[in-house]
Amino acid sequence: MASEESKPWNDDDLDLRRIIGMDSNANWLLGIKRDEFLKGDAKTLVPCMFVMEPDADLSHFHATMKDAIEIAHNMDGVQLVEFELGRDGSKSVGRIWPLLANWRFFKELCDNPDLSGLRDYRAKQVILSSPSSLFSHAEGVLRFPDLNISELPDENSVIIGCIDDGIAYAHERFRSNQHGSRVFGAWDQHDRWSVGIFHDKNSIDAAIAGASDEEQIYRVTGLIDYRDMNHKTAAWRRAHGTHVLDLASGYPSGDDRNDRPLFAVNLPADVIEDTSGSLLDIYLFLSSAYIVIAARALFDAGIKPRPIVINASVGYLAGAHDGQSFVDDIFSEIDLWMRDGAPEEEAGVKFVLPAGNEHQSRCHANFSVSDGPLEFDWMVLPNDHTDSYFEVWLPDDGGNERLRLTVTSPDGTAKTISDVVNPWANSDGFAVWKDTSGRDIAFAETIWSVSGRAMLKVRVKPTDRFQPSVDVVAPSGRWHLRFERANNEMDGEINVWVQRDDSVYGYPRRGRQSYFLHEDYIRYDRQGIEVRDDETLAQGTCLVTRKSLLNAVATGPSVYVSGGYVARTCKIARYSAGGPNVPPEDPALRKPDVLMTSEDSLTLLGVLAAGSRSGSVVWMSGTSVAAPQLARRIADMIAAGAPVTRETVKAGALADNVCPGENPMDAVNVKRGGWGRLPRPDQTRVTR
Amino acid sequence: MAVFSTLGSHGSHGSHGSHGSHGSHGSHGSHGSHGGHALGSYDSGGITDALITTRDGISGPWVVPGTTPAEHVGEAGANIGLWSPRVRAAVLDFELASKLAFTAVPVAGGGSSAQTAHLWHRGDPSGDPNGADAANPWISPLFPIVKMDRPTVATLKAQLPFLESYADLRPDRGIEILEQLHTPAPFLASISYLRADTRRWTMELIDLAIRLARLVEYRFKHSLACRRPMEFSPQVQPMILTPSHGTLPSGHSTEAFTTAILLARLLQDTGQSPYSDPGYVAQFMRLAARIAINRTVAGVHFPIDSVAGAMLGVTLANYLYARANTGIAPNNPVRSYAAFHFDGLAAGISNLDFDWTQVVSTGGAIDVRTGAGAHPSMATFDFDGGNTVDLGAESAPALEWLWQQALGEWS
Repeated sequence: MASEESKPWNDDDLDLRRIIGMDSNANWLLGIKRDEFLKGDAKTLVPCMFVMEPDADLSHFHATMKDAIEIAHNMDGVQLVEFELGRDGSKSVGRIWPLLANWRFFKELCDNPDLSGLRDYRAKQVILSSPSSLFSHAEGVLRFPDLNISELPDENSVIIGCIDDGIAYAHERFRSNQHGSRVFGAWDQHDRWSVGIFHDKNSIDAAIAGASDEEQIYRVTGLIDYRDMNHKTAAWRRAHGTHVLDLASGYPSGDDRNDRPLFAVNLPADVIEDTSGSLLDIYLFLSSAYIVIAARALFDAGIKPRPIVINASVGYLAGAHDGQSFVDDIFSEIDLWMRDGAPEEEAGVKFVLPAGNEHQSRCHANFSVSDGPLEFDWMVLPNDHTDSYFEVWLPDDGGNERLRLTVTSPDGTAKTISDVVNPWANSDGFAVWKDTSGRDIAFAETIWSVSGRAMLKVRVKPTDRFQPSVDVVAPSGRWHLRFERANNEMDGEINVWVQRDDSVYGYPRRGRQSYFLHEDYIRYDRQGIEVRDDETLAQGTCLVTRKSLLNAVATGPSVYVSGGYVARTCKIARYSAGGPNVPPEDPALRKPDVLMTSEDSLTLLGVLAAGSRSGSVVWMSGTSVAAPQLARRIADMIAAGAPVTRETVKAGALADNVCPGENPMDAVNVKRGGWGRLPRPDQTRVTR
Repeated sequence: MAVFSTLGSHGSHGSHGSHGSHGSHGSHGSHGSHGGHALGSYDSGGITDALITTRDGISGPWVVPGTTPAEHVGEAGANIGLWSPRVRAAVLDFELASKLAFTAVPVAGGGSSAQTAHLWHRGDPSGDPNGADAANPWISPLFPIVKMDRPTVATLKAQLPFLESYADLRPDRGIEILEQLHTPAPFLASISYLRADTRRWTMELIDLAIRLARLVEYRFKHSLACRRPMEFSPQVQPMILTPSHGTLPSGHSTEAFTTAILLARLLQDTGQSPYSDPGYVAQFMRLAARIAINRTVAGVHFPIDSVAGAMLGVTLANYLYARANTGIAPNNPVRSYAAFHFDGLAAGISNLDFDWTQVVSTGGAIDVRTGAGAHPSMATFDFDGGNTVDLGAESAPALEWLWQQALGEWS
């Protein structure tokens, strides 16, 4: 059967998969733009990053990249834009080298012997985002603009960065009556078709002074421009980023706080809208780079160097969850780069992330096939206008051809793939489902991650389209999954995650979250009460579990993570996801670190913080509002001169736990309760 | 038995009435100001029977009255205070409408779709039927108020992306949009402590302004006959029923700006802190702009409709203000207003959003903004060397009386 497979592309086309280590989302990311990108406009650039393995030879990597880029620059038709990251003109951050490149670059990467050094450098991964035409830059180098700052913050300041969506950076809570805007730099990334707009303290102060209306401030700065089609979160009353930054570092302007300078990055709307996060990684990197470069400028200007805090209340669900994925590297490398050799207590970046809200999502299965084949269903919903997919992560035991996965579509077409070493040369490595017209409706493929783990990825096209007669539509319903071992070495744990595919509040409802179905999974007990933890009922035989539904961005060794709890009841919020990370169950990777209030009570939903306009207060819930409270706490620790490490955060959580009845080591808390439930940080905001 | 029937029960809801969910019937709501007197109804069989038998019981033999009531002064403005609100509204509406004229012509050389319309003030007759100018008796000169050139369909079509973009805010603005379907009054009241029971004359003034705005805006809409957004694309899918009249100028924008500016100027004239503080003016403008923009969110208006409506609203408010102040201080500048021209054929308007600060100038006197920084469609409607119209010695005693009553409520 496998030998009958035909590849889902024409071999004459540029196939990005031929590049070793290429992003598993590559062809899909390019989506409907793929043809445009591959066939035409040399000015359409794709943000991409080359990432080295942790133990790779860094100087060799840098030398190879430099040479290859220089050669590529001189090739006919190749267009490249490099980033200048810092005053020394460095083009990389440690093991991460970002680039903007046109299709010719990738073509040359596939075929041209001059670039073989780069192509054959096995220990790398190329991560893509989707094409961006306006990123093109005549000089071939993109620099973050210098900050114009007429008045510096206090020299004992703690710098706080916020990467989010809809940060209304001129809000009163981010100002001081005496000193003006506390936002010293802001980057509106708008959409991924442009580099966006940069602002600094002077330009924000000028916009505030010149506006007769708060809305007009943002019309002047470009944050709200109704000529843009994309969603404008800051135009809404309840704006995620404004609420989050208020919790992280909002103060009444009358407090005249001059010791919490802020840097705000508003991610592109389409990056937020794509809840699968396939576009997110590069933007997290660029945003973090912008913030640390700007922070360095403040240090150069006389602010006492200290660790800075960056809150990023974003995430997605499927991923390695082992602390070794690409996005984990982003945070580690930025932190190391910022530390520049100094210990973590004295310098670097404290990234704070939410645990995620997917605890009850039925999106994770965890099992072993050593005792025989296992089967369950994957429910793909109708009326889903986006792709649905799941990832099967195999143990990191160095083997291959260990697992056989058979997927049967709702209309009965079964295909099998296995974790073969060279998936695209071996028909066992991929499978394609086609509709009656011969069009591709689903793919399965094997991908080898940068950490060496094998991952099987199954992707199904949308089940509904605006023009179903023209566009491919995959059948919705139960896709049956059968896992069996292909040889006797397959003993370890297999983890399967469905990728997040829901819709963000305020954004168009396009995605619909698919999930796993297993007959032993109990959602409600006999009294009709929602089951919150696997431990409360005997679900021993259920493959679909409530563990390890942690935000896949929040699994790395260098990030701090907060889940959410209900302040009045002390209970973990029903949605707040947890670890432990599997595998390995490394205590250093235990997540979340703490719980912060994400609901005031069962009836007073969410927590209160700023609405998008000065003077307004709105509620918002979820672990997105828990994380910034931890960020605030960490900033206050830094300000007090306390060293911030995982150990001190843990000790603080144990000491300040407001729910002493909860044992952090009991079965539920050890997975998602963190080291303690902490009070709302002091922020002079009315609570209820 | 019928103490709280018809009139009485309306009365107890009087404050709602003036908010006028019935729109142009809003003045009926002012019946409500009689509420609470518990006079009962005069139109039920029960009370008339009772009144008949009561009279029979106590009237006694007919006596020729010894006194004669003093005669009312004819045409005195104060007299309208004697009439019921419904009658008062009719008198005031007549006062305003009888002084308006409207002309419309295709723009010369502007192409088949070009259409222009003018609103005029009909001045006091210049002729004297009993005097020297007997050849031209009772000729009213026309003075300009507003001129509008309709935008081309290409301009409207170019504005269509705003409809898609603003539709994003529908879930955020839904409640506001529904509550703003009929009148801006509750929203004005939330800024200015406006109540039908304690500030009834101001409420009547606001109602009058809304009726004036409607009279004029519908006439312009009828003349310019611009198609609604939903006629340009099947995907606009408005969240409310699209009204049956033309899209430009936006009636909500016209009414919101007319009432907001009239109220702002009234409060300025009180000289009473805090109402005369400049912060009130800006807040009223933001409110009016939000009401106008919400119509684009709902999917029934282009931003350019709001631009035209705001300009019309500003001009009408100032016109009404001038008319209500003519008899107060001869030769006082309050007796003049400025006339403006919405140039829907101006270059560079296609992809411009509505920004109230490009239409209204609030730095000094509240007026339409022209020149640098203004929306390109904003121009003056010049007449006789300028766009200022001094109403001179004209007077409108009833309007003046109402204005003074309203002013007195805020001291």
